[in-house]
Amino acid sequence: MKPKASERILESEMEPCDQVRAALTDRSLPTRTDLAAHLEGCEVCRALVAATPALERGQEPPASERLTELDAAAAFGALNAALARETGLVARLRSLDTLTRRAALLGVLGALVGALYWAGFTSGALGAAPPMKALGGALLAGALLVLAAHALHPLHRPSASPARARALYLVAGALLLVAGLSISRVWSDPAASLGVNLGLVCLGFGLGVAAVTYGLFRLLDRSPASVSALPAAVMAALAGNVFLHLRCPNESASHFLFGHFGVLVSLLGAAWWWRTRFPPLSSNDARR
Amino acid sequence: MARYAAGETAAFKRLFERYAARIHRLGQRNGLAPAAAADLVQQTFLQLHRARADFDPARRFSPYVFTIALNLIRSTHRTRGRRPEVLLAPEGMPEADQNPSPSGTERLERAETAARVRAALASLPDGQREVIELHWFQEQPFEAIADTLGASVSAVKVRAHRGYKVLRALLEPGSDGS
Repeated sequence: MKPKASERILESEMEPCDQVRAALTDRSLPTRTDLAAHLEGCEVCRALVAATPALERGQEPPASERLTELDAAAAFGALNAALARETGLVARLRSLDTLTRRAALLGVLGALVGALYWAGFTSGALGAAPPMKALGGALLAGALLVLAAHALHPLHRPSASPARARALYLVAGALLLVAGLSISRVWSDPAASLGVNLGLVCLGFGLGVAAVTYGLFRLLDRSPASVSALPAAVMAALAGNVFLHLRCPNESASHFLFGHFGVLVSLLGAAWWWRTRFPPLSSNDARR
Repeated sequence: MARYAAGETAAFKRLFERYAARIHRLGQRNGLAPAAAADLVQQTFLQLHRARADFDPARRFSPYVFTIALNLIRSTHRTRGRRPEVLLAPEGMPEADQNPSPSGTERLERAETAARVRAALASLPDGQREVIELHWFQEQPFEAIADTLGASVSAVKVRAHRGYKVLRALLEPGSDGS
């Protein structure tokens, strides 16, 4: 189950640690006196040499336990069929280099946010609002752009650690809460407390803007939808909230939590459902 | 890959011939069933095709392709909310393996050892398992592994050191493998 000789890397290109590994797999280590000094001083290689006998015993399992070989002809045929479907505008957009795709997404989102600010200030709505509102909107817009770039992270680059990604989503969620609640003056508005008042309207508008943003994102994202579901959901929810934050006159906290923050909660729920229902590889993916 | 990016379609087939089987094995060793591992091969090469404009000819190709495959494997396991499962007892063992003849006994022992190696690998933290998979089974140099995983060479060596030590402890004769 080892790579063929033609797949291996030339020894002259190897560091001493890699030469030790190659000598172990070729069983030539005992004759390699040139590596003795390296073995003496390298803990990694000593651990590798010690573990090798056990690893080699598991190297060539019997037929009942052997890894199934790939039907290369069938796999290449299926791949060609998939590649044949990679035509049209969407395929061309997804094949653009990552810098261009990021610039396109950030450019469109930045223009939308800029237009909202321009409309808000020229109409006097933002000028008359508390300064915190403009500041909160700017912070949300900044987080939106960061998340848009993060969501378009290409699969050929090492992914951010799950902990770092979760921290990013938590910061975005916290920012949204702080920006919304800091301008809330009414904490117990009976008309809005059930969320029926303007809450449903804002939820609808927010989800609508988020859907358009997500659609734009999908045009440019080349990874399977379930891979980018969570970052895309948070990004789209922030886009919806920038819009709501800059236009909604309701200062009730309960309205914010239902009508604005609810956009994020709804989209995260949908993304979670999508991820678990449609994994990037076929659903029967784990050994039973 | 640089040739494919420049429009030489035949180069894609050569890449497929060279890497498809390795990615298929990588998937299976990371807990994917054969059909899902075949799906991994297709998805990896589809992503390679879409990402052809991003390829930097100055860089090695293998970290590029293994990074895509590992990202897809991780994402699949994440969507399932659990670590890859491992066969502790092989399914559908042929009748000959169940006979206590000398060859059957020997095969049984080898099957058990192989299962123990897989179980030991699966018990490692993801970071160590991926390094050992790429270093030992795929014979990738540490520098390429560092590229693949987005870590420094020294961090990769530390993970390899720890992983091999744990494997040795788990697989030494007399260890119960737990």
